[in-house]
Amino acid sequence: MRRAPGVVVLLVIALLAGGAAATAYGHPHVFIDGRVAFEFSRGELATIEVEWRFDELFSSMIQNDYDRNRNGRFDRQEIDEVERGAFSNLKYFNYFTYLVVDGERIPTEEVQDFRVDHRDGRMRYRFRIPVSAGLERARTVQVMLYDETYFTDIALLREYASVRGTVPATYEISTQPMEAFSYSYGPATFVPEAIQLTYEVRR
Amino acid sequence: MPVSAHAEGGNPFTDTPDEVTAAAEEFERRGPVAAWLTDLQRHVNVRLTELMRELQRDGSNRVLFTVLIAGFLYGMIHALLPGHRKTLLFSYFLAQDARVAHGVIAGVSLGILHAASATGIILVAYYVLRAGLQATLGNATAIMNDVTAWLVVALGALLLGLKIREALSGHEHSHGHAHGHAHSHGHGHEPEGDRQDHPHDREGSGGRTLPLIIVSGIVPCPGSALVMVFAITLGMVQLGVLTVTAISLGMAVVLSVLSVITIVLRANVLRLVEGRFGHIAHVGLELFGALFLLAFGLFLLIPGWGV
Repeated sequence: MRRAPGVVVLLVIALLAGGAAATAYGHPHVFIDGRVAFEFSRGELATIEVEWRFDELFSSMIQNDYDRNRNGRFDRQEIDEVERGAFSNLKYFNYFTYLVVDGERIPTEEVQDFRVDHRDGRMRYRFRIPVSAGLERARTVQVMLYDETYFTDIALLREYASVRGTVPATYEISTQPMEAFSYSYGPATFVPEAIQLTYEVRR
Repeated sequence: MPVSAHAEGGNPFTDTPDEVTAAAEEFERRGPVAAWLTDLQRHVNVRLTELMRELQRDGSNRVLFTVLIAGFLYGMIHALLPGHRKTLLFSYFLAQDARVAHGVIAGVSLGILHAASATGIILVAYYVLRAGLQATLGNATAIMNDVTAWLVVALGALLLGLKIREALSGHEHSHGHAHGHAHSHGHGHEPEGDRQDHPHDREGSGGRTLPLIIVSGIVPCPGSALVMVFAITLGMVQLGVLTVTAISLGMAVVLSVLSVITIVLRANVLRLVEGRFGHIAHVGLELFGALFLLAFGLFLLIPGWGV
């Protein structure tokens, strides 16, 4: 073969450059199965409880580090230490929980009732996000469990959502593609999914 | 923790955003292939832990064999996902004329070192330091990231300097075999139509700088570290070492194949083009590779720029 058209060479170089750039992203080390519970009080959404079940590998790492007395469970003091050492820092990452209420994004700034336990080798985190006042007229609440750093991959459990307390007369739970968080990757577009609750407000 | 970006160790459970990722508003770009690989990794991850537990109950060779196969797959998928110094290997072998054997050596050594480093750190943290595993791993990763990032910057700068010098001194790509004495000016353009052979490169920086790339693999593999911790928890340290070995071999295969593909691709691209344009392509490819290496090193160093 004598001469290849310059375009071909440029294309190959562009392809190589693209390949190099694409490899510069992170990859997950921790796997979570998650679900949420919408908790109502006096007909209004009061809190959202988030539950994460970790994979066994990460679970054993945290258990080794924080179950100091090796009794196979997290005692009160140990729970506090897990919260300080392997949870509180997630405030910088929106606690991997993105709330969109009637189309408006609400940052997750405060969490309550952090609990951690261990069952069948898998660690479980649970915590509540208080839903701020003014949401009583909300109709659509979306919760997306997502680690933007991609260190953690979060999938939804089969029963990914439930409703507790004084449940609204009519409500519907579904998963919704989050167009606002979508992004393109070559010719394809990736759209993360959120858990969506729609309900009628009681008067 | 040092103020640096942690390309392979940033942990949102313990590190500040600067150490883990760029602006919190920006979402990771994850394509469907990566998404599919992630799901696969998730399944292999679950399967691997199940099998290791099964081995605890039933210590048969059959189960052990299955564990090792799962570990090997885990390593392959893990290495296919973004990261793991693939960018390094890729840009390095773009900038360098290297033999296929170089690619295999680099891939295998990187895979093994990446996993061995993690295993060593966990074993020392657990048995010697008796310190928190996640914290020790995080600290060690931070230090090694810093050191190796500087190494990459130095290597990129070195290669860039060499390539620029070669380009300026009239290093032509189609000079055939008569290139024994390098850097004579007016080397000229001799369209011999010969195979583009580069004894200069091969004997030069190609072989000498390879160890630098390999050493950069000392940043511990978090996946291997997790498997090791799990094995210790099960009270099966030897199994942990065996499984991590299988993982490292899986990574080694992927990294080697990628390196070899880059080497062969480069050689073929350069073989396809001849004459003045071929020369430009050659110099361009090498400069690009070296520049990319340099940029990648800086990218690892600058806080908030890491991945």
